[in-house]
Amino acid sequence: MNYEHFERYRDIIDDFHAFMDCLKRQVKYSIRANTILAKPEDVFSALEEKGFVLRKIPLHPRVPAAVIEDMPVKHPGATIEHFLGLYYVQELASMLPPIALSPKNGEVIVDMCAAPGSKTTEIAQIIQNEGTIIAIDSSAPRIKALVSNIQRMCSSSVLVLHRDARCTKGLEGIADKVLLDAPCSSESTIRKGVDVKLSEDIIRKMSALQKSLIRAAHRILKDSGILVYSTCTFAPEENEEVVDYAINIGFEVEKVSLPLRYENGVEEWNGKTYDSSVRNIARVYPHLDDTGGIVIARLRKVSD
Amino acid sequence: MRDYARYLIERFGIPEEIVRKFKFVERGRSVWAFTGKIIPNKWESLGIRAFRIGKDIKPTTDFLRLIGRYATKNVVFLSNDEVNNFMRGESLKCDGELHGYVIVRTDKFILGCGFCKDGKLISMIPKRYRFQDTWI
Repeated sequence: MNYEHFERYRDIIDDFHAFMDCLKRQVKYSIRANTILAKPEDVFSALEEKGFVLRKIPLHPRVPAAVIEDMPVKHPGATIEHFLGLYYVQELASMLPPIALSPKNGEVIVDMCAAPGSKTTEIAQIIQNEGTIIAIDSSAPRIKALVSNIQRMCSSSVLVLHRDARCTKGLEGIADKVLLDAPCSSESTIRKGVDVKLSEDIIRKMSALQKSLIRAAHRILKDSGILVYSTCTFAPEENEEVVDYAINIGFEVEKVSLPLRYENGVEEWNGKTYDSSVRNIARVYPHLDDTGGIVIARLRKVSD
Repeated sequence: MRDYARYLIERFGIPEEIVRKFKFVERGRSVWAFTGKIIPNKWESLGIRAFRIGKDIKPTTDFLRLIGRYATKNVVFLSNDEVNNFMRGESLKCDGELHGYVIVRTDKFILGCGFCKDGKLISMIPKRYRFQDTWI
């Protein structure tokens, strides 16, 4: 595992030692009970009766989560309850972007990089299938997984499109809200035991892709529409720099309200200075609440 | 197009206000049930695949899991002991008065679709949802 790569963040993380220690420990599995199909207490007690040890985390009234402290199976999805769609195995930090988006019943919401569907189905659960969710992905095998998860979780408000999300034909100006959980260098997946390739070159390429997706999000949104932009990486090139770019093409940054701890966005990095409003970006570091990592920005479209 | 809403109301006693939330769209041999606004586009999926059109119209396990809790007719309750057998795809005994597609459930959860014929409940659970030996 390439832990040396993370030395680049020594000066921007408050307790860097705790951060590095945490990265070297595997993150625990967590689940989200599916309130479309069952009461969360029934789902959790069904698993506990089978020998699961769960620590409940009330992230949001419609996102009842639990960390799995112990389980009688090799994988948390190896239960009848999982195949009945009663819960989704999803890392806690990954549950935050839909909460930051605050989707409302009746809205049109676009999930630009949706597969395999954890956040898509979570949005459907928050609005209790009362609204329209357009889930987009460009990868054929991942689309298969996305459709399968939507069926299993009974997300009847989701329409799936197989296309590159940068192609916005037919979608211009339709969305009240957009979630862009962007392809990124995935640094925080190291906590899942993924030996992710990490390099400056990959970070640079991802930053360019993310900016083109931000332009597409701007086209898809109605005036004053909300974009939540998130990545599972800590690189300011893929977060603050992309948000700074978004400000220049017609977004403003809003404060984010999250149920887990985070640090503020950084205004300067590698000789570059960003708009001061990037401080409203939430950097959820793994060591703060023993989760995966995610960086989230909430933006409002202000001009065409 | 067939009246899928009427089928659900008459076969399973689903209240009309629940059924009318869905738009039913046929494509090929599938009928999709969608609760959102249809945006004109070439879609991969539109809500939940609700029925398969073949020799007859078969409700899918996924769709029955979504609306089955509202059903008042043609519902079969299983005990905890029977659940695993049904989920393995095995047949069980059922009330001889029941014929055709039924919603199979426990007291808390909907399991999916079954078919009753001559006192036998045949599991219509799709292969991808069938109980594996590595599950609990």
